[in-house]
Amino acid sequence: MHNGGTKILSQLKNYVLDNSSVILFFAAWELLPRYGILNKAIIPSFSAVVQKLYALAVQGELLGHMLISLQRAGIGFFLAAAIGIPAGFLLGGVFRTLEKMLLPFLRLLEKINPFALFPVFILIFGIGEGSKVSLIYWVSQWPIIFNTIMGTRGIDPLLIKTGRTMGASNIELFFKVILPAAMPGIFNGLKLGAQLSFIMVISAEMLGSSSGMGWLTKNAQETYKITQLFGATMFIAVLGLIINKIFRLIEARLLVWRESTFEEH
Amino acid sequence: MLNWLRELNNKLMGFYFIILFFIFWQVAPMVGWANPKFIPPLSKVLAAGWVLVQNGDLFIHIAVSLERVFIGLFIAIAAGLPLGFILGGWLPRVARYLAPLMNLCAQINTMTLLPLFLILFGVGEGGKYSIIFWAAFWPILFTTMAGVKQVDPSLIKSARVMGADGITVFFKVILPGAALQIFTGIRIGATMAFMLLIGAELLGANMGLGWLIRNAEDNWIIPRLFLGLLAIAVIGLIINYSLEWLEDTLITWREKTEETAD
Repeated sequence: MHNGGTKILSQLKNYVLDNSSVILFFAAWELLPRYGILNKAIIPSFSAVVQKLYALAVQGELLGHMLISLQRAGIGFFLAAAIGIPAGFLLGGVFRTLEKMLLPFLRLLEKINPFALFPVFILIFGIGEGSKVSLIYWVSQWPIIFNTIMGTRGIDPLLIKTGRTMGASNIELFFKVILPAAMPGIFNGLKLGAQLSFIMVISAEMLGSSSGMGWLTKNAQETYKITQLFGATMFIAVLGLIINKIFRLIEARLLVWRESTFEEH
Repeated sequence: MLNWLRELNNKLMGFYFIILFFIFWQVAPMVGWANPKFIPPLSKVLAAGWVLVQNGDLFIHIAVSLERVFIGLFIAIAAGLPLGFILGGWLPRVARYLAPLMNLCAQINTMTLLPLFLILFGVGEGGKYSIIFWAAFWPILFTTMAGVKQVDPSLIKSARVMGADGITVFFKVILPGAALQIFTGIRIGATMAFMLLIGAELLGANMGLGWLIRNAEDNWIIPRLFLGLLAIAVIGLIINYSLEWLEDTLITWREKTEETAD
């Protein structure tokens, strides 16, 4: 018990030492405005920002906007995955000539500035949810499509041939050979797509919306609610970091699984 | 002859769909597959562009946007390159100490910070320069640090043995060794910078390509809206490909030395 306690303590010490630059940054953010070195009206201290966030959270406002944003991002991301993965399989595995013809065009579409596209999407899908969700879908589908194509193309043909000689049907072949082999690529695409969908939902809400985290930040800026602006920005940043972290954890799991299958052979 | 045709076909393969897309854009609104009020045919968009070309407005907006990108990018390079060399080459311990904070900053989505930067640096040019700087600074800094670190230490040592001083080592060994990565960083930074600039101009500006789109949307001048989109897409591609081209032309010697080394 005592031993475990010291272990935790030493781990904590290591953690603090490793991240001391981050801690120092937050300490400076707290102290510099407090002692008047930075103007409190423009840069409120860290504790004031946290208090404001807490107040917003208690009112329920923060959670409401967060859920709206996450819902929009989630729908757009789900659409991108539902369309992008099958499209990637078809282009990478079945219609290779079509892929060769289509890929430069798709790469071109991917490079189009998403912010510039947003007004056009508003024109086509209206100012409501349609334009936001379609923008999120549009931006996050590209990494999913391209990575699925890469993953499918990268499969060792020998594996497929072996599966065939062992008498596997097309469906079996797809679920037992192609899908697992393409999985790391697909997952990488999903990870990038999820990050992009979160970025885009915030941006779209800033550009045209009356709810969501992006609107909360933009509105705070326009009405000069400085503390709320800092709080909302920090909250979005933390949410983004959490999303990154979740996908990195899943990826680590996935990689372990991949390595272990290789070890078995 | 047949072979030659086949080769041509292979080369052009990627362009078929792009050409088809533009033909479709022209034809679909004309025959009523798309509402020409919302999606005007390509010829109308180009006609709207011709008007703006003739009165010079288009070039002014392009110039204003490009100036903002270049100034922000220039500050990012001027700060990121030296800092990257210092942290990557001379002060690796400081770099390791600062790594968590830098990673944290780089992970935060730049667009999220835009309203904050507008407050801190003003809604005018300051806010735009600072957001472009932020978007471009991190990739440039990180790639420079990585580039300096991967320079073979034995190269530096052998240069020193041959009597090269610090400045010579820097310009003849470290800089060329890290150049490829630095260029990649600048290309990524420039692409990000241009993308975010349009977002910033959409949110608040009185000039520039992003403003052109916003203004066309507000006044319901639909062909101009599409023209702005087309112009932004083309300029974005030009920035991307010209930097890629520059990278290829400037760094060819690297591949050559690798080939001779084999």
